[in-house]
Amino acid sequence: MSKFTRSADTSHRLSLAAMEEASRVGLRTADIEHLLLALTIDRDRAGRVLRRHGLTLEAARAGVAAQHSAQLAGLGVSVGEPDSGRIVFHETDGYTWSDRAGRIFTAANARGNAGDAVAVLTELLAEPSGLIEAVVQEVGANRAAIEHDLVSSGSAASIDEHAESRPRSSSPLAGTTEGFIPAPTAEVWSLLADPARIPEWEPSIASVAASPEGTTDQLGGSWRARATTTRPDGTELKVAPAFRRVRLGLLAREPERRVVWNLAFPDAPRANSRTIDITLEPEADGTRIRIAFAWDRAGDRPRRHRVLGFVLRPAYRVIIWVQLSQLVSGISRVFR
Amino acid sequence: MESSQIAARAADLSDPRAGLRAVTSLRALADTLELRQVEAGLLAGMSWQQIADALGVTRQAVHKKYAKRIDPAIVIPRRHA
Repeated sequence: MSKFTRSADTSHRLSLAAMEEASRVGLRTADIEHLLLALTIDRDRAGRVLRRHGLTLEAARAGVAAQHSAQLAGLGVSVGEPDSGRIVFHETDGYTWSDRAGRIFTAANARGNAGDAVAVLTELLAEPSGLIEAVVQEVGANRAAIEHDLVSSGSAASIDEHAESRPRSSSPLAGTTEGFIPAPTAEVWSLLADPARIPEWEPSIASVAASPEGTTDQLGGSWRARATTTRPDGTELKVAPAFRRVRLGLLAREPERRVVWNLAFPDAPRANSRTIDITLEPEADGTRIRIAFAWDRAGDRPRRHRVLGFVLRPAYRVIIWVQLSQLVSGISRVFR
Repeated sequence: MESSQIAARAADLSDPRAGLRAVTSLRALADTLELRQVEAGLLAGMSWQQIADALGVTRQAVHKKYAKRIDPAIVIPRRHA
């Protein structure tokens, strides 16, 4: 993966998580403290180093809130921090980065820097206002020790390379990614393995019937579900009638380790179905998930447009990347 | 450093660095409160014009800033209703 794509992937993931964090405290501009919160749930080395030093999402949120209320108290303002609510980023609009947060990204991508999450964190720890260092101290961590670990645990690129989302070479309609979820594996499992809870994390499913309609050959069962016809912001999403009913199939289930869901359109038998294969692995302060996502060509459908398929390959790659990152952020959001 | 120590420093103006940082906290708090008050105003049936008047800005300015940022579940009264 080139520096450019790695840096684009990093800034997309960090921007999404940081703006989600800003949204839950009623802000639409993400600042450096939201960038710090985003890094505490980063899947790669930057996140692991922060969490090892006690900067979990929960601790860092508390540290940021304590800093803000202490600073306001210092000015004689005692309203305290407004209550934080749920993440509304996906339902609202108008988000931006603050100027100083934007400068951190610029510096992390400057000549000689890798543009990855470690480079962003390195710049963030050195930000000149002192807010980040104060938050780090607030949670009982030490900036120099974190910086030491960032430098000493070696070159990140080779370690994290396998985690980059990329399509499987076998098909342009498939891809894999990894994510860190700040919740115990048992909780993540109970979300992902429960058909009734799929609408909480799979954005295209609006509702799932309470009881299964039958059993599939492989295992589990299948459930009737309805496709989403409303965007998160409440506006209508046009869905052709044949794609409104979804059949949800459980293809594999290994408690707290792996679950495989298939989403098919019973009213459009020639349409491709989707397979979402998720593996879970406990990690310090959370769970690592690996998602393999694929559009499976309907069995009886001849493969036409071979040339067109080749031409569209880069477009498919972007679509798969978007779908993978939506799944990871949907799952993460449930626990934040 | 304890939070209370930071607060004391900002209060007695002996540490302008902490004091200046405190001002940025205040600005962020003002942004949060402004968004919540705009949403509360719309929920209470205020028009964009009434909200703009109370904020001391133009209707266009407040609409441009908040139309997409507010909770989309809020039903906005029509301009000439």
